Amino acid sequence: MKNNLLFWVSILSGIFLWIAIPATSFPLPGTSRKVVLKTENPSFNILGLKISIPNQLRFGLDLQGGSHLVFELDTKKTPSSDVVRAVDAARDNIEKRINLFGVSEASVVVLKNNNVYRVAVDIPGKKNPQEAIDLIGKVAQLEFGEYAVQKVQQGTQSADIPYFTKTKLTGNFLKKTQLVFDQQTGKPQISLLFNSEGTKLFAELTKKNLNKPLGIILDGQVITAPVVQQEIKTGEAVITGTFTIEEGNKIVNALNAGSLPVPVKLVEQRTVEATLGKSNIQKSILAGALGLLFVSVFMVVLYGKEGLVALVSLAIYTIFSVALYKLFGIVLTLSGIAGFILSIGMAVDANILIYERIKEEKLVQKSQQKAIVVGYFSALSAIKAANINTLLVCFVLFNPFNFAFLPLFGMVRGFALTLAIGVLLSLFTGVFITKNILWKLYKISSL
Amino acid sequence: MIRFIKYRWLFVILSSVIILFGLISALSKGFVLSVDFLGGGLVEFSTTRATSVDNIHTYINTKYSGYLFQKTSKGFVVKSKDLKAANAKKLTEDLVKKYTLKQERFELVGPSVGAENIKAILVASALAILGILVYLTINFKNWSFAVAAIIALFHDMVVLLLSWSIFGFLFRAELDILFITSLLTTMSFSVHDTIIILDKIREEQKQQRTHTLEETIDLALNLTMVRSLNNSLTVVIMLSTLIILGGESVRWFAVALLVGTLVGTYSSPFIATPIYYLLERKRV
Repeated sequence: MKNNLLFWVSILSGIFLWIAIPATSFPLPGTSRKVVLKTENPSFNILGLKISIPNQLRFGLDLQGGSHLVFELDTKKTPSSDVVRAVDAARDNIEKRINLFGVSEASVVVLKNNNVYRVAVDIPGKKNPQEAIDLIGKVAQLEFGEYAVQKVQQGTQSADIPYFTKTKLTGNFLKKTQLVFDQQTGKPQISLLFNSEGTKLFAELTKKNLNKPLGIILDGQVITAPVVQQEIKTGEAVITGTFTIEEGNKIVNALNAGSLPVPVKLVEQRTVEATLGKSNIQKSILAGALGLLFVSVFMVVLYGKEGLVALVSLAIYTIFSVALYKLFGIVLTLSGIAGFILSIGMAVDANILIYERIKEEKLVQKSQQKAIVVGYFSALSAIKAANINTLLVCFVLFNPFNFAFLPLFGMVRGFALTLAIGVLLSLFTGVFITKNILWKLYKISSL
Repeated sequence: MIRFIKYRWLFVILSSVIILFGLISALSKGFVLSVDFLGGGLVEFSTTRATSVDNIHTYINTKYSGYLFQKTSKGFVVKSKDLKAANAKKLTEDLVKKYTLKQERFELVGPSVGAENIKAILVASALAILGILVYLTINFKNWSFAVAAIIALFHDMVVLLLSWSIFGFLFRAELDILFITSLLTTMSFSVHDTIIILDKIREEQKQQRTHTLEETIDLALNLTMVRSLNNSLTVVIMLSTLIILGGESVRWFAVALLVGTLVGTYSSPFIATPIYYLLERKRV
């Protein structure tokens, strides 16, 4: 039975080790063939199901570089019954805009604090944050105005001042917007296609305003006012104007993203250059690996044969941690690394506690086996209490129920998550695996 | 056997002296607050070897008075309350034109954001401490243990916080969100370490190998001392490599964690245990 347990742990460790390592291949000695240990995107076909194994450790913006932007939503003018809907719509809208910007792995999250709503946008990599900020901040409200004239009397002089009155038809009724080019002049134009409701409104509008100019207003500015030649029933229209291809593309993107239901304001920005981030990652990984090596040496020097057992469980602990980070897609930040280091301390602590207790029992007990069994079990109560306590702290800091009065931001949560995973794993490796190896090593069969 | 309880006043004096120094520093020099708390902006630049950072320093001092300037290993950092997006862009454009350098990092924090984050963390910490108190009371079936552990926890957090005023004064170490994370780490570590010792005291009380409370506690402390030291040493080893090799952005964070580990280790036998002794002596 004990034999079997260790056997399964070894198998599992082997699988996790394979998940933990990066893509590897090396030339077979003496031949020109390559042995591929792991491909870039490993996947399996099991019973027709395609299972792909994530191969990337995900790093936070502070480690890999990128921009963290927080926008505050101005919901003051929104009726209170509509706030939640408006905030959700704004979030979706911001996400759409970011995707149009060419970032697919951006995260967009709503943060609520009392009655203040904010949207946090994380854009990894090298993208210029200013462009993203401009794009998100853009209102991009497209409106269609009817032509009207106001007579202004000034002394004996009177003048006709034309203006446009707002109509029901807005950019919200758009189905598709595209940048096209005029067949004759080659100038960029924006082609609009309305949805069914918009098509109806547009037909009414063009019928009513036959031979009159129709104002096309973007963000409050009339960009063009073509004269309606005929009633348009197809729901198609073209905006011509004097804009460059680049400007045209920006308008198209903004229109496709739709209008923001509430105004937004940038309140926080953190941008770390990707190069600075990269050196951060390399240095942290090197430091972590060397630290683990020193701890291993320290354990072997202190406890000899048992130290080697601790080393094995520490190795399994590290492999499992890295594999789990990959499998669950946990984002590693600087604070997450703190959680990891602390949990290594706690994992080793479980071993140290057990060995110190065994040493103590060896002075009292007659046989070595008895000393190990008694020492091991007396150490358990302290290990249990200490780790339950740490898990309790992790639980509050991680805030799984998203309470508004507790931290909702990544820094604290990342720390709590890696620490909690570390504590659970350390109970498995430092307590369970250590026990099984010790039992086998000292031929303890039963209690 | 070392008779720790007999010398308990020594530890009280030691802690008091450290806290006193920290208090003097905190009251007179305050803390070096990061933009997380100040609000405002921060721009970090890296320079090539040929550029003189001192020249840039003088330039910034004359042209942009009121902006804080800080040298780093690869360049420098400029921060200020007024360094909003537009100003930061102006500064970067101006400097890039005059000197060969590259913008590495930009941070902008609205003044209310920092304060709200801190409030949330404080509420969470208070809740966590309450949870610890309840759990320990249930686990040990005696509130003296729980109270002793919580007082040691406060001791550790106060010492770490005050030490940061001294580090700020000596090395311009910043009090930022990462430092808050290190406070939370210390909170977890401190109680973890204390529980191990208190559990041993409880075990010795059950076994009744000794006669007086003082003897029981001294025996437990002597038996757990090696474990405490060895365990802390492993964390110290991990953190030291991080301080030496981990790069600038992690360095001060690792230092804060190191201070937290050391004080957390110290407080378990020398603060939590004497307090437990005093509480129990009164009770019995």
